[in-house]
Amino acid sequence: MTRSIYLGTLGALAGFFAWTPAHAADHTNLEEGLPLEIEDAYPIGRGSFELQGFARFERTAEGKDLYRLVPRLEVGIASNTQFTVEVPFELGPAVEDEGIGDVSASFLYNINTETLSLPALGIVGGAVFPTGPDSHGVDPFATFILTKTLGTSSHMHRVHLNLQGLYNSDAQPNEREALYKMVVGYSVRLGADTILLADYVREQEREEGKTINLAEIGLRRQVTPRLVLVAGVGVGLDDDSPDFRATIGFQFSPGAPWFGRGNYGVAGYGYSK
Amino acid sequence: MAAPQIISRTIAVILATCSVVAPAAVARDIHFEQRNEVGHLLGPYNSAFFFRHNSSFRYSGAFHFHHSLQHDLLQLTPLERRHAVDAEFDQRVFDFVREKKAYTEPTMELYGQYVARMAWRVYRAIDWTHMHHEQTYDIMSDAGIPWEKKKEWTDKAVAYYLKKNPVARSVAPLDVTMRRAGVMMKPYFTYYRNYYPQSNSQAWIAHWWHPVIYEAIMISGNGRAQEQNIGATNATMFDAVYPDRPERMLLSREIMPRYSRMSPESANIFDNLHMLHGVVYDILAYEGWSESEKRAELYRFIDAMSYRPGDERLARKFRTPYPNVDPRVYSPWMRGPEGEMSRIMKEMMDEMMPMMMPKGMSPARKAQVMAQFKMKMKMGMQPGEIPGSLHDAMMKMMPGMTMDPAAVEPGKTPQKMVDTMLAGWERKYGGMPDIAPWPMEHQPHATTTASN
Repeated sequence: MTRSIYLGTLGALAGFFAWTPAHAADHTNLEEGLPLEIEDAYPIGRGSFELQGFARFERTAEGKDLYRLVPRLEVGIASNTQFTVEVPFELGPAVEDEGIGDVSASFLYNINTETLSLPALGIVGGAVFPTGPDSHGVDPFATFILTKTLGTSSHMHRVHLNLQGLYNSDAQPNEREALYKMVVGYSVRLGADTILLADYVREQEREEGKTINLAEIGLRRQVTPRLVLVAGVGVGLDDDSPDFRATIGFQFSPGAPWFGRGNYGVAGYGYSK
Repeated sequence: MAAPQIISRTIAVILATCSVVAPAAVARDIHFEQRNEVGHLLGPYNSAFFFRHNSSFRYSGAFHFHHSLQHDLLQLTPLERRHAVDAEFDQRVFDFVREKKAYTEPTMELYGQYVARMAWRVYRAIDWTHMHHEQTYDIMSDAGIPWEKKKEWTDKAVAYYLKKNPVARSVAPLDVTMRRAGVMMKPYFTYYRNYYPQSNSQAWIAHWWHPVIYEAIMISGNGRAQEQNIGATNATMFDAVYPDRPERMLLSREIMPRYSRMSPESANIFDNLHMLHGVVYDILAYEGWSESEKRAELYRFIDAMSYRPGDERLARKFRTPYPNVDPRVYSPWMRGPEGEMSRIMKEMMDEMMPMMMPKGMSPARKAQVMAQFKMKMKMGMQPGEIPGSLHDAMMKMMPGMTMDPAAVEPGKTPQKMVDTMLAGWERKYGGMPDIAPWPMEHQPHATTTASN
């Protein structure tokens, strides 16, 4: 049964990407969860906003089904800086109380663009709020992100590193007080409109003694100048990890609203005889 | 050992290796900058060109594939291998255009990742201006924007473009900005067109295509004639332009006179962008400077041709030599090396020469110099043409030429030369009346038959 799910999902993904016409935008800007855990060091442009969302099916280590629906809003609040808020919903037999999970909000700041000698570096600071059932305390987290291009190929072979630390401010009995998550990823351009990516995830759970290890692979495809669609799958590498996960999602970038006029702020603008 | 432990330890080894390799990277040129990207303007017309004229959207994407990959090819290819690379790239671009392989609108980084890391601000300037192409094509394509409102929306897009990003190209005509740039005596000038003629000709096809698409819309109005006239213009590209490629960079005023009068700011922005492409390619093809020296010069050049407050007063200082041009027709005057671009360059040469040869020269010598200049302006190497840049040719012909060191050094502006040329422009054209706006109150009578 599980193998059928794996093969069916892979077949559907292959069909989707073979058929879907693809058109411009920022499929190269990797976002956490879209469709893999890895993200790159670059935020969205100043003044713009982006609507994102993904749906994930996961067969947990305990053999139960978990469905996550995660809508997200990103805003380019300043140069090289984005603000993100996401509101997850968790459903399925793996969840005792179905409904809203822990809302999180964060800022990503890009320290530098990649150069020939320096990788791109970014830092994220945020917090997870106890909006889910059985959640306690506001948990701050910080992530260090590194993105580096390999070689001189025009295919944009890149490696990415995410190192995250989270402080479990109201740790319950049998919970860790501090957790880390490490993601190592790789991305490459396939044609003009598709990015292939893969990553390895090692993430401590809140529960003491439990650490998951996952390998994931996925695709990001531009379908219009404003819309990116994504899909990915992952498999657990040990008994503590989910057996399998599959993710589909989207990113929609309407652009940057601006209420200026034709001659706004431009001195002497206009026609003169 | 379990798989997770193997992977974790492998990563630890990689990080340790990087800590050893990093000092070697430090020895290389280090520079630090940020992307400072800006969101694209939100409007009701967004993606209109993509949805309504998708084939043309994909031709544009194919040209931007050329622009993107061209950067890395020039920077990474030794000049001795240029012939094979030039031919192979030309064929690859033609296939890309003909087969509409670009579903996407490539950013410059998508195929040019090396130069992205070497000189990010170049791509920022180009991508930002490609955004303005996208905005203005969308506005003109959107049938929901009444014809009489097109200019208002275009002006707003121009204002956003100028205000939101300091790498915006100037709205002054190329006559002015090219003089500000002070590049003609740099040791790289004309490298691209002389040493990569086929690749350069692809750029000049693109710089024919972009304006004539605007003009095809200007003669169509908002209705179905847009599809027909754009289709006819695209057919002309394959039937006439590719077999007999333009031998110069065509300017907006020549091939999109109506649109240029409607939005002279956009017309000048696009001319300035198209010139930026050519000079950037010259710099990348040149082998006499290090990467950091090239970056210094690239950034100087970008700044020199950027928008300056007050440039809008110059936006209408041009004439339209072919006011009734039919964009669907590839007229003979579009093909040859002589036109507005060559006029601008020749004027600049005439303005510079008294500074470089203060004792003057004989008429015969001057004729030889100008003959060599004309050869340098052409694609490829002509019989009798001196190798290298225009500067190299001039120095060979006039060894006693007086040259401001800043005219040849990376990152330096030959200010006296620039001031002299700008004074020359001011004398010739400073008092010319602004070209009249194009009337947009009524849609054009839709013409769907090409005329000469």
